[in-house]
Amino acid sequence: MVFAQDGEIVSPGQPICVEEEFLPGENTKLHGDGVVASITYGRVRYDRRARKVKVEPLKPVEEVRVGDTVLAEVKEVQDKIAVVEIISVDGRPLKHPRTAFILPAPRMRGTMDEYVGVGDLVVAVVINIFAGVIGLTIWRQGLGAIYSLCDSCGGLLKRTQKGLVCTRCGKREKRKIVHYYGNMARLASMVG
Amino acid sequence: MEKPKLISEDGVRVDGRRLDELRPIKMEVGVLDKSDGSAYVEFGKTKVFAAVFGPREVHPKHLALPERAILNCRYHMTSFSVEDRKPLGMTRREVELSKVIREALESIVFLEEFPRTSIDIYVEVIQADGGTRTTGLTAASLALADAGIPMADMIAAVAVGKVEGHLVLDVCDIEDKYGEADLPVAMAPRLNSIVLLQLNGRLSREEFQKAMALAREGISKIYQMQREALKRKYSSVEEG
Repeated sequence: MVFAQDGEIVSPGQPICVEEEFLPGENTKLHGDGVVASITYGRVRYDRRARKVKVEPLKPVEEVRVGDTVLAEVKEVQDKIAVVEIISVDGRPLKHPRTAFILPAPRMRGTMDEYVGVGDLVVAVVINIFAGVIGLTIWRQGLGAIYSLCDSCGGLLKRTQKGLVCTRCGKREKRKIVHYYGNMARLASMVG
Repeated sequence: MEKPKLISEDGVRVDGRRLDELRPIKMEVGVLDKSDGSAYVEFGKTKVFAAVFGPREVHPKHLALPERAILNCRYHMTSFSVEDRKPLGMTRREVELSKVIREALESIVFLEEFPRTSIDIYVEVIQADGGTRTTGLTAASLALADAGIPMADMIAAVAVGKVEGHLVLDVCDIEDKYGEADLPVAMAPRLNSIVLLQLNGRLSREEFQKAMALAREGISKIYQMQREALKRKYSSVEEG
């Protein structure tokens, strides 16, 4: 028995179909009496081939998932990890920033402060989420700092042939950077 | 002040309603831009806004739970919501109602989907004319649905009172003041579960059963209106 047609808008708790017709998919819940009900406010979508039903939320909750490319601001650097705040996910700015951690790579030499610094904006990928703790990696091609600040004076680090040099005090710094480091247009597109 | 006559001989209440009649109800969803989800609900002269923020990070962080989100609820009456000016801070009553609303909502929200986060619900009573907790809960449930928070069901709530020996649905302020009993009930109708039940005053067993039946009747109407309000919002978005 189907209670809601394909494309119909349903509210939380509203019955969609019975389990014998379609199995519960995303944003649905199976009740004890075999009725599949929606758990969110959205549109019903039937997959007739897989015999599954899901509900596409009309207003999805802001979430970070494994595999997402994120832009994050470094808040704290420790020996082996860095604490960051995710500000955008796949080019979409987050309304509520999330704290995450840049995890060390097995091949990482030295300490984390040789790769990122406080105040840097880094491009990273989410590699795991466990009990709400988000783990990021910058140890892949195309990932790393896109915008960095000097550890001593807070000045902007500019890429030169000698590496990253502070525009204010002239200090040289080490970072893991992306190939488009300092490209403000690219950075703006990531912030959304 | 002398007690006014609240129910006439022909069973009409002080505001012209029948014993089993709800006040005129107005519901709107998505009324506040800055929040993730919001709702405005009017039950007669009782006017309530509810806003939802989150899931977002918990502050202070030590309050975060590794296995589920925490639900914060703040029920508050504005200073101008009642005849005498209400002090700005949270009164004991508001703290208690924040707790009962939170507990009612916790029973339907899938909090385990968002570990280490908080979902904050603000219920603001703009004008109070009886039934503010039930109106607040109805609005909060709508605001949660508007925010896209996964829920097993929505909550609809209403208060049944005993006035001059009669059971009446959806008590207003004057009936609440001079009535013999007040029974706020909140339900998740699809789950057929009662998520809030309080009783001020006394009811016999038979009266209680009749009051619950009356509440169920009112709740099913309110629940239908909630669903329509959600659908109305989406259709207005599509047209706009």
